[in-house]
Amino acid sequence: MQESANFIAAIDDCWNQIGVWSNTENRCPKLQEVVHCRNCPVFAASARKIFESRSLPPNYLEEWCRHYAAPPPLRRTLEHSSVLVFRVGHEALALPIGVIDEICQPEMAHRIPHYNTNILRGIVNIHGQLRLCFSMSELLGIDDAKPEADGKHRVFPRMMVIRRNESRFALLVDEVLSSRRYSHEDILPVPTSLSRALVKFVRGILQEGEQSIGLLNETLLFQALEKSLK
Amino acid sequence: MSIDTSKSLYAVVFSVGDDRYALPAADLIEVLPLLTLKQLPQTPAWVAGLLNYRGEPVLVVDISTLMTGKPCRAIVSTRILLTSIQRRDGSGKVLGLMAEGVTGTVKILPETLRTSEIWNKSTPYLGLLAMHEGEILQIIHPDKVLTGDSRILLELADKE
Repeated sequence: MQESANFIAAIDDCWNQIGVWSNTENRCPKLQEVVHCRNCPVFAASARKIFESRSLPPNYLEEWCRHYAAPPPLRRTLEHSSVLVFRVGHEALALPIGVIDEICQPEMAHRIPHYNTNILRGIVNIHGQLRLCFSMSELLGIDDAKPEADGKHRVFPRMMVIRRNESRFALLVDEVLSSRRYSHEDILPVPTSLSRALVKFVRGILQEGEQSIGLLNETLLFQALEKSLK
Repeated sequence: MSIDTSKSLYAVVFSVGDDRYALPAADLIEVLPLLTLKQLPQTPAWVAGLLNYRGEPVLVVDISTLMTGKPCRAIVSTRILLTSIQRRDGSGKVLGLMAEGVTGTVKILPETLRTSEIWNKSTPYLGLLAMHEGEILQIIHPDKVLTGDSRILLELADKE
């Protein structure tokens, strides 16, 4: 330790003498070019020198020895799939990434006369194309109540455009959360506590921490959407 | 592994004494921190010992001792570069090279490569020179670090 302290003392700390951390009038001419010492190669070279000569912290050798002596972390060879996780009411749900065409800001839907179901909200304009817009909470029978705002977390409602073959639909969701990878062994069975409307569409549960994510069956979802138009 | 001199080369740089050397990243399996090694009695000074790598013994050579006789210091920038070398029978084998000052990688451009024109029979692992940003980097061929009789050491690290 003493040795490394001596070493650091021996380094020419020009940044404190003639650099941005000094009070002198005559500053280093290199500052014209690099503006700040932290952009300067001299500063970087000194930092590297200090880093390279740092002595080992206690138990460093033993800890790394134990770490690498352990068997390698299990590499999953099973096929992975990716899903997009979003929220509707209190439920976290997921659809395969492949069916998601785009995510955009929700727009005012233009109601269609004589199609006054709550599931179909109307027509929206997405890049000049008209798409049918559906409410996910109505379709899945999820109580629309928003989780209590905690003040830290801002919520952005979104419209997801999903596509299968040539049919594209816009879905209103309360929030798009993240994308996630899973392998088939991660899928847990559907609990019986789910509502009946929802249980039809959920083919499994992915657990992430305390959050249970309902994995939606996209085929059934498309069928239900098409059926609601008839 | 021979080097394709028409393409740029990525390499991990380390120090031996005041000089800098480059190990092609293509030869590298993993960079490990310094850790406790099992000592091997009655072996040359440049044999640093045996490493327990995920349950397999791996021979570690102190490249600084091998080249200059001065061992690597026990500092955080001293690391073990795991490289893959070929045995006589063609099968692969992992060899660890312990080196100081392992802090980053460089991209070596083909036009900066020069031959050293000095061929030393006892240092077959020294390769081309790279004139890299004002300093001379010499490329190291890990599969030539153990040659001749010292290759027998490899069998030491083998299970029966």
